[in-house]
Amino acid sequence: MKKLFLSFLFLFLISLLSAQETYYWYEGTKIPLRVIGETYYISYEENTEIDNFLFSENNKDKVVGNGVLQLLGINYINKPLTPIHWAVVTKELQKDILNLFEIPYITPDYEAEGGNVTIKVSNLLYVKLKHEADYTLLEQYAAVHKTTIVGKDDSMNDLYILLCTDISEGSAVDVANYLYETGVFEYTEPDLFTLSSMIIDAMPSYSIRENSNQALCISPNPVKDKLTLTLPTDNNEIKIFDLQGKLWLQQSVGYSAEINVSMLPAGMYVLVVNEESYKFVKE
Amino acid sequence: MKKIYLLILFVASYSLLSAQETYYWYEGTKEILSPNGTQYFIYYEDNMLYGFLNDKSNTHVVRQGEYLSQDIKKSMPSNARWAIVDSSLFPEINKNYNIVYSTRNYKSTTCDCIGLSNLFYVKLKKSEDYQILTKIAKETNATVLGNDQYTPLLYILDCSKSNRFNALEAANYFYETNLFEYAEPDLMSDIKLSCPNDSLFSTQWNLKNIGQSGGISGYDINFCLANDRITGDTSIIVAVIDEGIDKTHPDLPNIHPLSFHCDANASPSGLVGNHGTKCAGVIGAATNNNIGVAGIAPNCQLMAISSFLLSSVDGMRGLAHGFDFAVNNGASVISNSWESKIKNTALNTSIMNAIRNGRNGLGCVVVFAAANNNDTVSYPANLNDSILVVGAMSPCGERKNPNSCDGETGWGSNYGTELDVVAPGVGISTTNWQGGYVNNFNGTSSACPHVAGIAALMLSKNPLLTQKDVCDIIESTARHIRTDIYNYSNVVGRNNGLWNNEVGYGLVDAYSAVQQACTGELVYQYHSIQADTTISACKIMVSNVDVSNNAKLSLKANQTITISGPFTVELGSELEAKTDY
Repeated sequence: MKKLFLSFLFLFLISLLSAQETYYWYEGTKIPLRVIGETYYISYEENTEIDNFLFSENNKDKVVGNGVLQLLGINYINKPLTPIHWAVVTKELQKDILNLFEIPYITPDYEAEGGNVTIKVSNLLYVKLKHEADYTLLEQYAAVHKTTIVGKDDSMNDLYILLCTDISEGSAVDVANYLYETGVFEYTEPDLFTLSSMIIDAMPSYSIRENSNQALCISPNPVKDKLTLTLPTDNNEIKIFDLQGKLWLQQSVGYSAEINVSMLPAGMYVLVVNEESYKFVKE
Repeated sequence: MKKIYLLILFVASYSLLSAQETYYWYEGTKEILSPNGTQYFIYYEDNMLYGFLNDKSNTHVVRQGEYLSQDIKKSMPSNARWAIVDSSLFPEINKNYNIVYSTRNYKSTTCDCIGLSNLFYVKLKKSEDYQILTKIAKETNATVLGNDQYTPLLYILDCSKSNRFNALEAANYFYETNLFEYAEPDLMSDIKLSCPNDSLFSTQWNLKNIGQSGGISGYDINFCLANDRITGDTSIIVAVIDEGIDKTHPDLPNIHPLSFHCDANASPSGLVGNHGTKCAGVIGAATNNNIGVAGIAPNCQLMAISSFLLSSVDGMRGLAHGFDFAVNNGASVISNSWESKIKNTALNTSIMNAIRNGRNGLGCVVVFAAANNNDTVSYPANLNDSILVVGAMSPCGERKNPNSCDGETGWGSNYGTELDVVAPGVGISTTNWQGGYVNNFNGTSSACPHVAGIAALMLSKNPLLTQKDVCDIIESTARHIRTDIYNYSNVVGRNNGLWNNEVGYGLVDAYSAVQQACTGELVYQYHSIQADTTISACKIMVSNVDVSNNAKLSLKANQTITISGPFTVELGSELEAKTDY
């Protein structure tokens, strides 16, 4: 009995370890990915129940980022029939969601070099063919791993975009690895992102700038009529611009505010607070 | 005791006061001056110093020359030369070379920069007073060089060999004898004449550093001399990949009609933040339009490639498309003041495509900011050696670091093996979105567009330069700043001169880089010159040439002149060979 128990323990520990460590390929090198699990990427076909749950009063602060898979600049081969939503949520919210809903795709975040942001992985991956004719091979391998070839990039040659779902054999990281390790393709890469700003700026002050994502909360996004804001200070001047720079709204607000945006035409907008800009989509 | 003490105090304070009060006489009135010290005038006879001042890597020589006037030339040694240098250069010259005479500059109530030379002028009341002139000259150790050929009573004197007086003091001494009609020093006012009239120009230390930001005069990109000659050409497009550019800004009239928004994968660009407009202003704000700031390449076109630059789902593909758009629509230079924690192969492919295949094979010049983590250079700046990587310099010529003279402790410019050059990157004045201006644009974000602007000026002058040519020239003409704290050395793989881990090849020099922006070698041979002839080219190779019949052959090259035999200049004829013209 003791031996059985020990071997179970051993197996359990091994699986725990391997679950914590994975890798992806970049320029022919294996880059380790260590699970952190501070946040989780979830993806689901359009579902108002899940949306309502995510953006309810209790939960909206635990949604770090969200959107709809838009896949621009692509020639579709297998366009998704219903819009696919995604969200990056805290681990607490992830637990709650899984208790209530079937989420077809969920991955933890990973450790990044440098440490102050984590790496998230979406359910997309990219495959570059060595030759145009290798597309048939891609079809075959994608089918094996039950991964959909959504389409082809419309300006870069032989670059394909694939989508993982609940029936795929593994996450986008896993499928990207399988495909690369066939040796057939020029490169594959999972869609990695951080939800942090890429702008290089240095505030002319004596303190280090805070991560802008933590300073402000905007929900829901996309929004239909009312935008709820949670702000870092008591007195804020907010402005809403469209992408052409036209000012649509200007208001002074306190710590929290509900902004009526129903009059805005559908599209992408920029909310500016204290020289920081945040995007949102009006439906 | 008390009386003596008071007397001493009185005398001391009086002498202190009079020592502070500098002046010269003009039309019978004392014109007050105070010391400035941003520039130095030097008079020298040292040929080694001549070589040093004219070395490519050593700019910040504001002006220099010889004593050409016929009135005085014969009285001066043949190797007599003068130069005006920025104060940052003076200590090094003073330490390593023989300066016969030097004086710092002054300022008056009306003009910030008044330079003195070694000359001064004395007008006699009558021609017989020549004896008095020579007598006083002896007293002051000044030399009478000659008199003005049109105004024979006006004498030119030289105080360079005087231990007692500079030109100001010598002129005063002569005047205060009351024996002459007048005496005045040879004064020169600031070379601001070649700087533009934009209203905020005086805050732009990055273009002309006169110590206005508490920095050290001279640490700038040598803009005024460059601006004097070239403002760029509309055929050269600089793409700015950033948060978009405010297309309605009054100081940004040269925005290209084509633009792209990466996040929507469509044209036109959007305007999603202020950062891109700030970068754009450094590159191309309108110059000499009396408003706003001066841009480096104001006549070049700015192409907005916008993005929220927020790392998100499927985001890298959009940025890759942004590079493709710029390349496919004729951008020559692509300026990138952003970094990514995630590396992406599709993006790499687009960047390398721009470098290798852009501009019909000549290559786009891709410039990246090194980033501000006070650590090694970030990605994508560190992706490939062909990317031009720019760090930020403080107003005192240091790598901007938490302890640099600007006092901003929160950030430092990245350094290390991939760093190529530095450009000013603290408190930069530029355009802001919504038609505004800022004077605090910071970071390698602000340094990067300086280099993009310089690349655009170079390509405006010579569009046949390859991407590598542009990078090589910018690197090899960079200035080795602060040799007191940075050691520049030969590094394997760094072929464009001496290099340092914190500041790369050094501070970019707009003037020198544009001067060197030429290609082509002219071979000039088998000619018999009998009339004045001028030959101009990037490089000139001459052989089998004969100059006769009192003719003058003038060779003017940007880079080098090589003369090989047989080559003859007959009696009475002249050969002039000048580089860096």
